[in-house]
Amino acid sequence: MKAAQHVTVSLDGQEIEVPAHGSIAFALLAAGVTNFQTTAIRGTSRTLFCGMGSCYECLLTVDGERVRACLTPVTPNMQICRGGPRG
Amino acid sequence: MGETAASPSDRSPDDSADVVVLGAGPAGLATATTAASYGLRIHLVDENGRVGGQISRLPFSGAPSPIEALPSNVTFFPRRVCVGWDAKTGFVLRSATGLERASGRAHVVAVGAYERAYPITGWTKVGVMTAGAAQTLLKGSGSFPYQRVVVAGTGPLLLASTAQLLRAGIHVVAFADSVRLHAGQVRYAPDILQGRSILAEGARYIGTILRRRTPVRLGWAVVEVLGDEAVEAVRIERVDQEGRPMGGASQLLPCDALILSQGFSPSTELVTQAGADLHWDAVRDAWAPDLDDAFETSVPGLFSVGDSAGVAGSQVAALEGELLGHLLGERLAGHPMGRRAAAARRSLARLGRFRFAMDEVFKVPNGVMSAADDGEIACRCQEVPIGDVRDAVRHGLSDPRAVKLWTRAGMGICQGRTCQHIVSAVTRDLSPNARPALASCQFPIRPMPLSALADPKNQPPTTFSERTPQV
Repeated sequence: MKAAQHVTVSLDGQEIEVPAHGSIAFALLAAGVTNFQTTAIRGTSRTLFCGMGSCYECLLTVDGERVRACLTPVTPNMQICRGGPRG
Repeated sequence: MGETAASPSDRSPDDSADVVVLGAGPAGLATATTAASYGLRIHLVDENGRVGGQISRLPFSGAPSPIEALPSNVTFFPRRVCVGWDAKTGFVLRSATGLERASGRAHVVAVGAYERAYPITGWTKVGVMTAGAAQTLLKGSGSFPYQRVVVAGTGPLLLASTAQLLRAGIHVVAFADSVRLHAGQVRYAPDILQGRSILAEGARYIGTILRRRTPVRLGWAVVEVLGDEAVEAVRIERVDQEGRPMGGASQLLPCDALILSQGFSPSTELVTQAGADLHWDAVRDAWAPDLDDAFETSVPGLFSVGDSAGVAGSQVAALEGELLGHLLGERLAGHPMGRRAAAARRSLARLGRFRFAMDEVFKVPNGVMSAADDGEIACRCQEVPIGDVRDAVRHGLSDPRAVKLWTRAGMGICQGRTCQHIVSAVTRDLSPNARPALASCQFPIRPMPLSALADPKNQPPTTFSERTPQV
């Protein structure tokens, strides 16, 4: 990975450093986060799949809103939470 | 016409436009700018924050792009998700503040397509993604969060994706396309040569792949993804012309990501919900709206261009948009179309031959899912096993609406976007004589919180169209 500027975001209440440029999905994957949500039946991890906003597998709660991590740019001090309703 | 940067409008879309264009990708942008050149007022709406669509996805933070220059009579409304069509008030949009209506004298659907991936055993592991997802990561950040990647599936996008990864310095372990080139395909050569400019781009991708000595496997497919929760390796095997593994040679490729892609399907939910007629395109393995030669659907005043009208790529999309812009100019502003419209028609005819031949060569084979275990997941949202879908089809269900009610495949938050083609492939594989049937589509076509509907100032659509699609 290129050396990039980093920003701090909060993931489930814990502060982590992530690349400053790109989507929330990229930022979290680059920071080594391998679970955006856990499936209801089999309990497996999902992260980014379609990257275009159609599969909804990268849904996260960001500052209280349900957003698709692949479409949303990362910004400093975002409050990101996993484990919200899957719909 | 004065050019201004497309600063997002702080107004809401309303009924003051001549033409409302949904989708600001190559087709929508060309429609908007061409129709605007006739003096028409255009409202251009997109889900993203900037124009350009998925193809020109830009760094999230970076220099503005020249494509953001729009004529002053085009107003851009970003970050709106279209949740449906109301026959009385046009497009129903969801913005950050609530529901909005966008209506005009003509409504253009230019919402693009979805990428398809067909399941193989292990395809829900972390690190498996579509080619579009890989491009989004690369273009959005200039970097990629995985180090050793296998690219597999079928279609020209795989070439582009591989070359882009290589140029970003990522190690591509192997490139595997299930397509088997054979002498019978020589008949497509004259048509394929019609797409010279696109071929030149393809040749550059192939050049990059050959220079980096990336192993290329034609007639091979990934049959299994191995790893605990994340991808650790994939197994590839030789496949026959039907896409079924032939046994024998098998290779285990250690990697941390798999890009899996088998072409695109038009995004047809909106036109379906609007009550437009659609047809099954067997070569492209997808539904597409019925259009007259002016791109109008069977719903008067509702048009469709670009990949959402039939997947043919960005060049065709831009030409269709341009032609529709001229047609709308003539129809709504009363100015005769100039020579440029005729030129666009000729280019479309030429590229149409190219695309048709490419679609034939890269057709998704019937046995594409034959290697996937019954226990593997077909519907990723509801975690419905492929075996359940196969059982439903073996019991005689061939209509996706029936399969959905029986198995729950397609009932999740993606509303069937990720598994519709999968259910259709199972049906075709096990019941080849079944007539294709269209999945139904109801308002809202995208997930929205109940609070958006409960808000008294957000009246839900007054006229729903619910009908049985004709095949």
